[in-house]
Amino acid sequence: MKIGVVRFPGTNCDRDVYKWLQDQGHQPQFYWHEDLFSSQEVEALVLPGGFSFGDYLRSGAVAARSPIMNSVKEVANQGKPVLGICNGFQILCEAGLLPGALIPNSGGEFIDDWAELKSPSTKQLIQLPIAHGDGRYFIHEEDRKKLWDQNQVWWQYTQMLNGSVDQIAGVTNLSGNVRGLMPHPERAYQDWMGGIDGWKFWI
Amino acid sequence: MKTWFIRILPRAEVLDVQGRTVLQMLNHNQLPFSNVRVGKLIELTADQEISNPEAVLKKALALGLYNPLVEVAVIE
Amino acid sequence: MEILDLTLDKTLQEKLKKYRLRISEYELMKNLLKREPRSIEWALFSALWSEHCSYKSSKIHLKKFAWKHPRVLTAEGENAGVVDLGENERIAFKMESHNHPSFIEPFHGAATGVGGILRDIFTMGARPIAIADYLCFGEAEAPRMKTLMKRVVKGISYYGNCVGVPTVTGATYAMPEYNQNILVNAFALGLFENNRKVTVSSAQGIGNLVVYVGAKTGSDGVHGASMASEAFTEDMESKRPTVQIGDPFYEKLLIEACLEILDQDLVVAMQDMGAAGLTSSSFEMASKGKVGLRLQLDQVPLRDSRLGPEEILLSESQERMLLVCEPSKLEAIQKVFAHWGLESTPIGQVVAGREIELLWKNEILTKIDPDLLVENAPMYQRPYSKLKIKNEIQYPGKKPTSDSKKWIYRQYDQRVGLRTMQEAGHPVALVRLESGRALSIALGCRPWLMKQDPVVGAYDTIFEPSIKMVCSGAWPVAITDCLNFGNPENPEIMSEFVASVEAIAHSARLWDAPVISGNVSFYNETEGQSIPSTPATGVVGLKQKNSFPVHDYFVKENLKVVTISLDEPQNFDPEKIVKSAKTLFELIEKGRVSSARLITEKGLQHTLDMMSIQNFKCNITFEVNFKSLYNVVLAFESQFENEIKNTFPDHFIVQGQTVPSSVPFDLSAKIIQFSKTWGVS
Repeated sequence: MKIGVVRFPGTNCDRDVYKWLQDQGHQPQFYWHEDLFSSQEVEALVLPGGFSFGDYLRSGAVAARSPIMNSVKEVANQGKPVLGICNGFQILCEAGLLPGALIPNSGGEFIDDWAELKSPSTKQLIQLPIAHGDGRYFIHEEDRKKLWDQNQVWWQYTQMLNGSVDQIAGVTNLSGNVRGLMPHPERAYQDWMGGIDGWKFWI
Repeated sequence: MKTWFIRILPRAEVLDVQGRTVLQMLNHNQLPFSNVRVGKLIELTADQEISNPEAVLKKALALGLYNPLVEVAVIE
Repeated sequence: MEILDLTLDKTLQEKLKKYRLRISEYELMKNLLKREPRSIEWALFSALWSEHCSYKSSKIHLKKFAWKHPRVLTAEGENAGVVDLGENERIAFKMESHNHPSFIEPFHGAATGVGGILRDIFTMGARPIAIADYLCFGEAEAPRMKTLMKRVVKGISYYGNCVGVPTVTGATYAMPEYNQNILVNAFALGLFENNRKVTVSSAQGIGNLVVYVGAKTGSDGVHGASMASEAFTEDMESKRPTVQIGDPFYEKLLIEACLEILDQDLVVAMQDMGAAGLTSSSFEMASKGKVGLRLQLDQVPLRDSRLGPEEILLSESQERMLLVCEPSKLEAIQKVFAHWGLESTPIGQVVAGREIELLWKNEILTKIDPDLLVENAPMYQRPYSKLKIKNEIQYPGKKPTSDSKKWIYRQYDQRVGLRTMQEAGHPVALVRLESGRALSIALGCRPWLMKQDPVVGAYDTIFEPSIKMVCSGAWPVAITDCLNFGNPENPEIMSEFVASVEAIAHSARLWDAPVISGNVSFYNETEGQSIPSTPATGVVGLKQKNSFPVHDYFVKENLKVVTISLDEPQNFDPEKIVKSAKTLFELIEKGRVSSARLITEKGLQHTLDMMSIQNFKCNITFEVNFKSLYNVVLAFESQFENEIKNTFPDHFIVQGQTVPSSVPFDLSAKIIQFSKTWGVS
């Protein structure tokens, strides 16, 4: 599939995601945050992790107001798959494409570790690496109920890690095509990386 | 009940990396600001009356609410 | 400290103090200039003749590291050393100290330390792919120490994570002797991807432009040291900041922009603006290139318009580089930097002759030969005596380091870049290269050993990390060092310095791993109390692709477990130890060993515990008081028992067996899937 990889100043997992997509047989293409692109050019999009704009003000806050987000929204509205990983997840929340917000970890520290995740629907267990300072998922009570009712909780941590509501690690939008996830699937797709649960994890 | 605020900002000569990036973003969107400093506001509340609040707040500051090397704190 | 002559002119005394120069150095300045130094020249000499920039106490001895090794590409004096690993893979690495700034402001001090070392790497054209840190703290109960520890780690985490380079290993020690002088040394390694050439720092080509790129200049760090001793009061707004603030976001942009212009072949020479900022970069570029420069200081992009020429020359604002390019290439360079949102402004030209002309709005402030400052910095022959090996090592009774370091490396992104095969928490880090080979990285220097026997301790700074990497199936290829010492004017300390340099130089020969770069930090003392001599090292090794897997923990049951010793107690023979290590390495390369791990000073049981993180442990339950320094736990299939016994006939100490463990699976210790040949994906 032709998959766009969006880059902002400060994005640092872009090359990793590119390789992950390429090794799985897709045709990734970089897009710079100041450039709009036609949604016809891509069949899917990834917003990789990193520290866009240094995470200044709030993680993903400045990036979410970048010109390219118009193209991202267009792709999302067409029902095509859009994946936000870590900082990408934060940007999608700030841009209103996903519900909730990511705030500083309850422990007040950046955490780098492996995390076990559970799918609420299939009960599948996987392991993916996490590396984030602002990974605590927050959502208001009324919206939290809707999230569950509408099957929008994608993955949960099996252990309390960063204070996320319901230990939520990833969510989707209502139609299910836009997804956000704090852990990094692109960091676990070959044996020597320590795990392969990132292989064919998304599409 | 009484509430006080302490405004903490990076010292003027110290590079504020957040302010710099926010300023660029605002200017990029044609907003005519020339400087931005990003800091924090600390809100302190006491149930009882405090006789000499300024001295007490200074004590609170001395406990590390701000880093005097790189920040300036103003009691409001 | 030199005592100022009371008959000296008061203004001269003040000048010497302000610019941190001695009367003897002032006399030398006058001699070289053949006249009284002008105001701006005081600033130049102050910057370039500081210990940090000129290496005046150490240069003579550092020459002992020189070794024309076929693997080493760079000449002495370049920013970081470059090593050719063959198969079109070249790396550069270096280590640097940021001790004093980190003691004053630990978060920003440590952060800017990381920023600085990264720039040394990518200024040569290598993309940084790994960071490591060597930290020495005092006792936790010492004043400020808990805060210092936490803030230093947070600073490294903040900078490394944001800039997108994984911090893959480190070494941390805590001893009371560091209560008033902590050590923060940052190591960085980079890879020349896509066959990128090594970029030089010598300016060339009359008519070429001198271009300033990166962040704008502020008053960070100007006259920093003289401010440091003042007491802090609430209303310090009007005073200059003593603290340099780094911005890892800007550094990330700078890395991408610089590598892009290097890939497009737009640059003649490049140098980062580190200590002594614009001064050191421009003077060194001119001196190395044997050219003249004309610099218009008023063209320098400023954050603070109040800055004058002297402050601009001394500013240590971070994330700035100086480059030289042909005039026709300027537009392309500016396009790249504009894309990344950074400044790029021509501030001068390369001119005929051998002088640097500094201008301020068309007024010539000085015209000076850079060699006067760069080449003629005083070199001191500090007195010392030759030290001998004492051979009286005693393992410290109390644990010499704080316990688990997990709280530290859990704050560092280990995996960005998709190269990390073995991360922090393992004895050595393994970083994957495109060829399928891996680099091993480990930092050395055990202060408790240095205290007991400086000569053995200095050899150990190379031997310990090297033996650890042998246990992971890698052999050292090159070394960097960060020599932290007290006052070099103290002959005892100077003796330990010379002994360290000689031991490291000798070790380099024995392991066939040349010293390719380094740093010296003197005057780590407070009120006459010095730190223990701490010559920290960074050893980088290579592990071949498709080599047999070997783990630093147990991976199977029913394996035989033994410990062997590579050295003889109280008889330190460096050549013999390297020979034993080579033998062990060959055994591992032949696939005879399933697990190998160097036993630390915390003892055998502790090491066995560390090896029991995945489902298997060992039935050896007693402790052993080793008298030798280098003892290794080996686990292997019983079929290899005879071969291993015959290889190390006199060195078996204990024997045991691996058994399944009832300890639940430790999620955070990730297992590498066991496959017959390692490295095949």
